[in-house]
Amino acid sequence: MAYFIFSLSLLLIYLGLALALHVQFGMLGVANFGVVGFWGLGMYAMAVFQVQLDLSFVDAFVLVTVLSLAISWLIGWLVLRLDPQATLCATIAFAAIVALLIVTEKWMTMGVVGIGTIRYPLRIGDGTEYLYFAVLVALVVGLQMLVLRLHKSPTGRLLQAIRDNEELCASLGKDTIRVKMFWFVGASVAMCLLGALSAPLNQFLTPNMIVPSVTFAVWIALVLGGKEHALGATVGVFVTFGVFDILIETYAPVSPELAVVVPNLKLFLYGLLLMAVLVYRPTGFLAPTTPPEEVWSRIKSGAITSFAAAQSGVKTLQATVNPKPKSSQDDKPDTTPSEPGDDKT
Amino acid sequence: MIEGEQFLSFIIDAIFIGVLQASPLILAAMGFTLIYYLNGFINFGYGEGITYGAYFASLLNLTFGFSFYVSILPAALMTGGLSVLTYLYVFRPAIQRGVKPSELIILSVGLSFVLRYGLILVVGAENVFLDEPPIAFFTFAGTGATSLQFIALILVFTFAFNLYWVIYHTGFGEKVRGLADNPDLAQVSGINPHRVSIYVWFIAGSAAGLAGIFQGVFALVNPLMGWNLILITVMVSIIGGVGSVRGALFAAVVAGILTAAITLITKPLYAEVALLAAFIVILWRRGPKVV
Amino acid sequence: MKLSATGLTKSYTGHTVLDIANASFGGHGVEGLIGPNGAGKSTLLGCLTRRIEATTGDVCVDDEDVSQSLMSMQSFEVARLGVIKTNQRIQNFDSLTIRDSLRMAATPPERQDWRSVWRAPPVDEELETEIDALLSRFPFSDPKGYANSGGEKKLLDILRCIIVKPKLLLMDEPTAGLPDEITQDVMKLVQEKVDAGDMTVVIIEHDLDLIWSNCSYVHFLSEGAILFEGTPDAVKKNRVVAEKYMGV
Repeated sequence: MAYFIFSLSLLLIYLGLALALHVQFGMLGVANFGVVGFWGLGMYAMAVFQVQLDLSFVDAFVLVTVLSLAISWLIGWLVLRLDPQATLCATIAFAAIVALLIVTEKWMTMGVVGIGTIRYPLRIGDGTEYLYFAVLVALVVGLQMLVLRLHKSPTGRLLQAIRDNEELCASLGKDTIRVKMFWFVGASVAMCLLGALSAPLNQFLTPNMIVPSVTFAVWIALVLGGKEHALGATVGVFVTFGVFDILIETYAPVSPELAVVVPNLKLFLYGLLLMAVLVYRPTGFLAPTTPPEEVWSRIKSGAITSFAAAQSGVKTLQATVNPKPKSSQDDKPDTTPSEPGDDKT
Repeated sequence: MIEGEQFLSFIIDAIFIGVLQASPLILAAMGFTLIYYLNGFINFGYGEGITYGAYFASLLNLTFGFSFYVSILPAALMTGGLSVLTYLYVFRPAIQRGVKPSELIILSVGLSFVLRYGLILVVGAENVFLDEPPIAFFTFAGTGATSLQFIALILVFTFAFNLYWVIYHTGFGEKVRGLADNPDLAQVSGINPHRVSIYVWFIAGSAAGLAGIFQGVFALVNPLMGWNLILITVMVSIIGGVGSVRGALFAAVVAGILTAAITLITKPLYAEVALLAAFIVILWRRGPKVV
Repeated sequence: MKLSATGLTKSYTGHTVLDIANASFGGHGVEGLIGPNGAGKSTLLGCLTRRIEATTGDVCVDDEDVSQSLMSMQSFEVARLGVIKTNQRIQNFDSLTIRDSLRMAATPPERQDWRSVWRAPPVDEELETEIDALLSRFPFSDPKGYANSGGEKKLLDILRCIIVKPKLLLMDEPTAGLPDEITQDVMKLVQEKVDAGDMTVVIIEHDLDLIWSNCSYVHFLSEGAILFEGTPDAVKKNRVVAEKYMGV
C-alpha cells in the first residue's frame, strides 16, 4: 500500500511537470527539453540544504525557491530570444550540466554515492505519506485550475498569440520578451519546486535519477494528451504514467525476469507512441478546440476503442503465436489473419 | 625556462590527445552536419547511428569472430543502411505530411528512444568490449599512442577529407549544396532531391557508424554511448556553424583539443560542463538567428 | 502623429537599399508611398517601426507634446507610441478566432498580465461593442470562428491594427489579396478615422487609382531615395516620376 501511495504521489509530480511544460511549450511555444534539469535541481537542492546544512524542510524549501528563481531567470534570459531549435538544444545542454555537476560536486551532493535521508515537512507516524499525498493532490489540482483559468483569460490569448507569431504580436505593442520571461520562469520554478517536493518521496537521491528519460516521459505525456489543450497534460500523464507505472506494475502479473524488461519496453513504446502522434495526429488526443465539457466523453470513447483494439491485438497475437490447428480451420472462412508483413505498407 | 618547457609539453599533450580523442567526434559532427545542412532539422536519432555502428561491429567481431579490422567497413555500411531506412520510413513521410522542423527534432528524439530501447530489449544493457587486435605502442614527442589510435586517426582523416572533397569539389557535392541553399531552384534545374537525400543519409549514417566503432574500441560499447556523444556532436556542429561541413570539421578538432586541455587541468566531466556552458553562451550570443 | 527621418540609411553587405536625407511621414492625413519594385518602400516602413535596424540615421516622433527619437526603442515600444504597421504578406494568429484575435490586440498590457488569470472573466463591454461594429461592416464567412481564406486573414490583419487605435497607421500594400469592394470598405473606414482626427496614414500601394483617390500627399521613392513628393496632381505631372515609374 505504501508503494502504491508512492507511485500515485510520483504520478502527481509528473502531472505537475506536464502542466508546467504545457504552459511553456503548449501555450508559449518554448520547447524546454531540460525538464529534468529543473526538476533535478530542485530535488537535489532540497537534499543538500536538508542534509548538508541541516535545515528544516520549510527553510530548505524557501532557499530552493530563491535558488530556482535565480537559475530559471538566468536560463530564460539565455534561451528565450533564440529560435525554437536552438532553445531546445540549449535547454538539453542545461539539463546535462545539472546532471554532470551532481556527479562531480561530491562535497555537496555526495556524487554517485547518493544523498539522504530527506525528511518530510512533518511526521505524524504512519499517516505521513497519506497527508503528504493529500498536499500534493491539492497543489496539482491548484495548478490544473490555474491552467484552465489561464486558457480563458486575456493572458492566455496573449500567450497563444506569442506562440503563433511573436513578431506580429510585438508589432501590435506587446512586450513579448517580458511576457515569455514571466511565464517561462514561473513554469520553470514550478518544475524546481516539484523537484523539491519529490525529494522526501524518494528519501535517498542518486545521480541516475537525473536522466533524459524523465524529460522524455513528461514530453510524451503532453504531446500524446494534446499539447495545446488545457487538459491535455493531465490526460496524457494518466494514459502514460498511469497505465505503465501504476496499472501494469500494480496489477499485471509480471514475472521477475520480465519486470527487468518492463521499464525498457515502456520507453521503447513511449518513443513509438510519440513518433506516431507527431506524424499522424500532431494535436494529440485532445485537439486544442475540444471544449472542456466534451473531454470526458472523448476519453470514454477513446478508452473503449483502444480496449477493443488491444483485445483484437491480443487475439491476433495469440492466433499467430499459438495457432491451434482445429480452431484456426474453423475460423478460416470469416477471418483473414493479418500478415506480419502488412505493417510495412 | 622549465616552466616554459612544461607549458610547451602541456600544449603538445593537449593537441595530441585532443586530436586522437576527437576522431570519432569529427566523423559524427560531419555526418550530422550533412543531414542538418540538407534537411534543416536537428536529428537526435543520429546518435543512435553511433551506437548501432558499435553494435554492428561487435556482432561481426564477437559473434561471428571476424577480426576487428575486417568488421569496420561492413559495420559502417550497415549503419548507413539503417540511416537510409530511418529517412525513408520516418523522416521523409513526416516531412511530406508537413511536420515542422521544431517538431521533427522531437520526432527524432522519439526515434532515438525507439532505437536505443529496442536495442536494449534485444541485446541487453551490459557493457560490451570489442576484441581488439594486438596493439603496438608508439611514443611521439614524448606522448604515447597505440597503433589502433593511429589507424583510427588515419582512417578518420581519410574519410573526413574525402567527404570534404566530395562536398566541395564534385558534381554530387554541388547538387547537395544546391539543394540545401535553394531547394526549389535545385529541383527546377533537374536535381532529384529524393535520390540525393538517400545518398546523403547513407554517407552520414556510415560516418556515424565509423564514429561508433572507434568510440567503442577506444573505450567500451553500451547502448547509451550514442546519446552521450550526440549532445557534443550537436554542439560542435552548431558552434562550427551548422550547414558548413568545413566548419564542423574545424570545430570538432578545436573542441577535441579544448576538451583535452581542460581534462589535463581538471576532471574530464568538468571539460564537458565547460563545453556545454560555452555552447549555451555561444547560442545566446548569436541571438535569434537560425542555428 | 508625424515621424521624421533624417539621414536614414540601410545597407545589406555594403549595398545601400535605403537613403533618406530628410523626410517626414504622417503629417497630411492620408499619404501615399509609391515607387517601383525594390525601391525600398517596405524597408523604409520597417525602419520607421524599428522592425528593421537602420544602418545610420535617426527617426523622431513629433506629437503635440512629445518629440523623441525612436532609435533606442524596441519595435513593441514604437507600437505602443501609436505607430502600427499592417503587413504585406499574410500574418495571422492561427489558433485565435477572429474575435479573440481582435480582443488580444486591443487589450492593454495591464489587463493582460498574470493578475488577469484570477480576476473574474473580464468582458470589456466597450471593446465588445467596438468589435461588433467592426465585424458588422465586413463580411467574414464565419465571424464567430477563424479567418479562413488568405483574403480574410489579410483583412483581419488590417482590422487588428485599426482596433489598436494607432495614431499613425502604416499600410503595406493593403489591396494585395483583397477583393475590390473590401478594399473600398477598408479605405472608407480608414478615411472616417482620419477625418475624426484619430490617426494619420501612410499607404504603400501599386494600385495608383487608390493612391490618387485617397491620398492628399504622395512620396515617390526610387532606388532607396525620395525623388519627389507633393500633392497627387504635382506627382502625376512630375517628369521623373513618369519616366521612372509610370512606364511612359
